[in-house]
Amino acid sequence: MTTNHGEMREMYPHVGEPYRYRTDAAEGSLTFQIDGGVAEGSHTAITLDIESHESGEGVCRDVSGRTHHFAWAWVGPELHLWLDGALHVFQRAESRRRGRAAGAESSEDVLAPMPGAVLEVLVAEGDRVERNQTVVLMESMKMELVITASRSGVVHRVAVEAGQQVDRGMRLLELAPEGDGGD
Amino acid sequence: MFAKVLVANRGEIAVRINQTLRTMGITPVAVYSEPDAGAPHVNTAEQSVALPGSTAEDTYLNIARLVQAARDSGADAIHPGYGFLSENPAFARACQDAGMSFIGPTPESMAALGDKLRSKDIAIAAGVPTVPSAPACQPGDRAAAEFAERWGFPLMVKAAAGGGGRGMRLVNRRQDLDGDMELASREAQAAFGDGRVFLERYIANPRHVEMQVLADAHGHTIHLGERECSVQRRHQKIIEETPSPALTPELRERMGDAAVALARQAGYVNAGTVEFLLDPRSGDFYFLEMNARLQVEHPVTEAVLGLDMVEWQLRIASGEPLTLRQDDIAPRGHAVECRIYAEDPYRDFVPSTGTLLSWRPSSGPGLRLDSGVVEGQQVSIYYDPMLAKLIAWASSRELSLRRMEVALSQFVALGVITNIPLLRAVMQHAQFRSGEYDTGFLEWNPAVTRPAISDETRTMARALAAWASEQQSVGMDSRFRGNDGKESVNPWQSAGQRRLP
Repeated sequence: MTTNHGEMREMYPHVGEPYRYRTDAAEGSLTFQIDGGVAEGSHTAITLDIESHESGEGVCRDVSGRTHHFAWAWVGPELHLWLDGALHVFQRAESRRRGRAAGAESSEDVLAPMPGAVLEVLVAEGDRVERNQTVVLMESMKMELVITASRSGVVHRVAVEAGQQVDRGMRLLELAPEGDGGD
Repeated sequence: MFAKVLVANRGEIAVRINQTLRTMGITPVAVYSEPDAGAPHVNTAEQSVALPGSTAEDTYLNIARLVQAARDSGADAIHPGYGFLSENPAFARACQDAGMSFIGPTPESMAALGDKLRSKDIAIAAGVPTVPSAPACQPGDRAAAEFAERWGFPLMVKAAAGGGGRGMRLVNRRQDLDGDMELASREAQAAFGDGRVFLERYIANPRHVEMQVLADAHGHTIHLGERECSVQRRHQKIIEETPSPALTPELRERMGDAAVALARQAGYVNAGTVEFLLDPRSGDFYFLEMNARLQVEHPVTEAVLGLDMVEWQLRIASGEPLTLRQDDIAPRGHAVECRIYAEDPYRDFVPSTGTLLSWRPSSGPGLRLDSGVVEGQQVSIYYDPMLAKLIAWASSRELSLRRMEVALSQFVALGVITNIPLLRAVMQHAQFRSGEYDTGFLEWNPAVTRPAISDETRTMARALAAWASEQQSVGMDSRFRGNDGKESVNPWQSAGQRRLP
């Protein structure tokens, strides 16, 4: 089970108040808990099977088994989402506060997937890490988030330390480019 | 037949003309402004000529440059498309003077039809009904006052040189008449360099029905049936269909005969469209104007007749006789066209610009897309915001509207805001489906211009947005790669959570 949290806001066709979400992934299904939104103070849960997803397009099934087509693309800080024939535009609530800072990271950065505190950095600069090795532990809303490496390589820089508060999208670590200092 | 034709246009219509030229073994030559370098209308031609500059005035409206480009490329004819210089007699004349054929009517008939007052005289001479009007007049004229006295209010002020709704005003009260004439005249002067205005009786909630005509240079003129164009925003059509749900066979014949008589009276040669206002209650129709060019909505006529209008334009311009007889014109089934604009239907149709990050048109039986854009293209501020036209054909009106609705629901466009959801809402609308609608359709049905997203869809959109956002925040190149980390371009990822004590 993987759980993520975040805060987003609708920009089009309706400008909405920011809403919070929690996603729980299990056995191919994602359950979304959405707070705020359609009616103020409302709480909605929705479960979707996201069945295919490539090149910015996907198909999902709702609990009744009905198929929905969707597509998405990022336009700067805005997420353009096409769903069943209509366009919806969203922003991350944080990116509204922080502007476009998230654009600066390279693909070699590890970013904080949600706001929270760094519990522990398990590697140091120059360390060799293996794929799937746990490198950082974070805490957010009473949950621990385990961050692992998805490829082998060498840690080029550690950008945070234990106890530090981080915003979503903030850089935690940098990995040296592939082949650099490797075997 | 011509060997090489320069297409003095851009966007979907230039792409569409290139297609017929290639089919006929004629070399298409494109012209392009700086922002249009690499655009589909350039890539679908065999040769191209750059026009320095970005604005329409510097490029697609620049007669001297276009004629020079045609000369340099060795073209023996110029196709003007629609818009830009397509109805400019000076351009037609400049082409002829340069020894090239202009694919359209003669400059003389174009000039006569382009002037609303002169074209009205032509209609009257041809015995075609016209809307009662007062000739060119100044604010404060006795003729204006007498006309207002006779017909009452509301009435229309129109520019003699008008088009596209500019220089046109609806006057509701006597005390506004002089002021509105003044404003319309100033608007017309700015837009057309001709400030003449006239007054016309206001026909409340008419339908806009037009007849397509084809005329060769040997005196043979026929009509190709009608197009219903009553769904409009800001006096511009967005949806067209044929046959019109409002026409009986008897009325169709009368309107067709009127259109042919008018074209003959004008000495018209090539493809043209006679526009009428139709009062659906009385069945009376009135000549509005004649468009001396190919129309945006010509594909619906092509769909029900199974012919290529541009092919006939080329044949006629090269002197071939029109071999179709009026009796050959037998429409089959029903066709509808939707104009896809980069504009926000929920914010007063304000144009939207940006990069088309995703452009995945639907396809299937009975569907045609005339598109001027490709994925990744920049939609700029310089030109008309129409991106493409989607045309659906089926054996009945009910089926073609449903075919269109399904196609619109599958049409993915991201990066710019489009009017696709509005078009879809019209296709679903009970009044539109009934066929009993007029040019006031959007005005009477403002709900269509407001977003209609169910709570269920909205919740799903929020969930999918959260999901897509998670994909990006773990750095997976904005693409979902799954939680096992395989194929991820980012070396770090979220591996899950466990509850803390």
